[in-house]
Amino acid sequence: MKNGNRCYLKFILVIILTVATPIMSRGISCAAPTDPVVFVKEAVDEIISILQDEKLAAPARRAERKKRMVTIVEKKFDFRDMSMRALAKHWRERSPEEQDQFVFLFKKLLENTYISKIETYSGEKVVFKKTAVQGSKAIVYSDLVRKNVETPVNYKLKSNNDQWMVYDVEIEGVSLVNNYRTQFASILSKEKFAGLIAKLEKKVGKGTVE
Amino acid sequence: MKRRDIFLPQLYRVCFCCFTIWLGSMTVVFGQEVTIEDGLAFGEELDIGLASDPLEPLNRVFFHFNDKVYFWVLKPVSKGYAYVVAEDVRVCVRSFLKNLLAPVRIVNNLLQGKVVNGGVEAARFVINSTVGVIGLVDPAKNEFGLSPKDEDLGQTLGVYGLGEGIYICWPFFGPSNVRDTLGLAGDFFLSPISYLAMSDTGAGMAVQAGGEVNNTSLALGDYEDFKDSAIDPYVALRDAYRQSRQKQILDVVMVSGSMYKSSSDSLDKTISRDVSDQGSADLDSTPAPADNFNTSLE
Repeated sequence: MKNGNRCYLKFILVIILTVATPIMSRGISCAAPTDPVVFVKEAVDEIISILQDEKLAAPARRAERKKRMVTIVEKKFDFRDMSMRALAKHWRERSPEEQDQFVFLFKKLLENTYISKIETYSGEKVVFKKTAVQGSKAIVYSDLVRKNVETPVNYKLKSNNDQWMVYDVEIEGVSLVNNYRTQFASILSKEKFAGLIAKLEKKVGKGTVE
Repeated sequence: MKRRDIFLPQLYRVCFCCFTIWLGSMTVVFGQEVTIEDGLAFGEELDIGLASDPLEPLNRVFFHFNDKVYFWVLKPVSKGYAYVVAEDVRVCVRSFLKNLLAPVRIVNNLLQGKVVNGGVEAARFVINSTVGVIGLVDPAKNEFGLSPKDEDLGQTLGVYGLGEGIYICWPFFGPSNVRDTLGLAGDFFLSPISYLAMSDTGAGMAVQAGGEVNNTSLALGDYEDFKDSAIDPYVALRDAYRQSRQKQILDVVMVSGSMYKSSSDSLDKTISRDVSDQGSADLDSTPAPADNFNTSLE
């Protein structure tokens, strides 16, 4: 009787452990798939190595260099989420085709401005400072050190399916997505959606021709 | 022996109970985490509301005026100045002018009740004016780890609860609002340059303009990039100004270096890295990763 009881308890314990261990580990992996700093740093390092590659700096290979940077950025930035946030209430009023078109144009606009800005950098330093993680969101604080002045650049990340994705960048306290949201809202208060798309197309077109 | 037989099941039961409690508390914690995420907007932007801009037509005129002043006057002059004066010297001039404005920062820190930060600014002023050769260099930050605590009267009024009022884009001075304009007027009396201007208007204005040219020469291209990324530059600038002012007033942590320097020093060392440093020493070490990247792609 006593022996049976003990076996029974051991059995329960084993079951609890086998069930609980995956739950526990899942809980941990949910909270932190990878270190967000590492995630952002990877991209920064890859872009630096591309910029320092003299073979790619030749004018003939400019397009290729840009394409490589775009692939890196695409892996790290959630452009759809950024578009949704930037359009805010107007997002839901658009058809899926219009949404897709907007995401495409907004992505192009961000890539053009971000990459052409990076290409002008020389001698700047990126210092990663700290990360704050809460649930599925994280903020990576970094400084861009230029001519003895630090510019705070904070990356805001969200994890979907154990993968971090950047959904906003805050430069000197100014949220990029919020800044675009204000602009889009101001344009949409005066014009129709097609007008905004036309403006974006014009802007992106100008960027690609350079 | 018998006691042990009773003891073990008892232990199992206690363990089981503890485990259940732990599991229960975990679900509560996880459950809460979801609500925290929904309620407390971690990483979300604070809602600063819509800009009050009844003067928009006039402001737009001044925005374009300032835009032209930048491209036609300030930029070419700054470029010429940058060509003649070495960058290190320009960094020193900027540092010197910033040091002159220490009274503004000290007084406003104190007005906001930030006694420690006021002390930090006072210490910075003393150190930089002496060891830093009349403020030409910044040993207070570089050697003593005292980073500047920027405060102005506009922020102080904001801390006191004064609303921003309507948005104003001043000719020459750029984006502002009623509150910050009042602040600028008040801070005027704390700036040594103003007293120079009172005794000799020409000299005061020359120093002010010279400082502007000097600082622009160190940030050439920033305004162009900003304008390039915007769809409506006027709205973009207005929003950027409002966002950054709001955060300065609320003292939202935008990373003020010294705060976690001590705790994450090793992190800084391992992760900080030069962006496209043109130095030859650095270039020697880089072809290796770049080549690896090539091979993995091809």
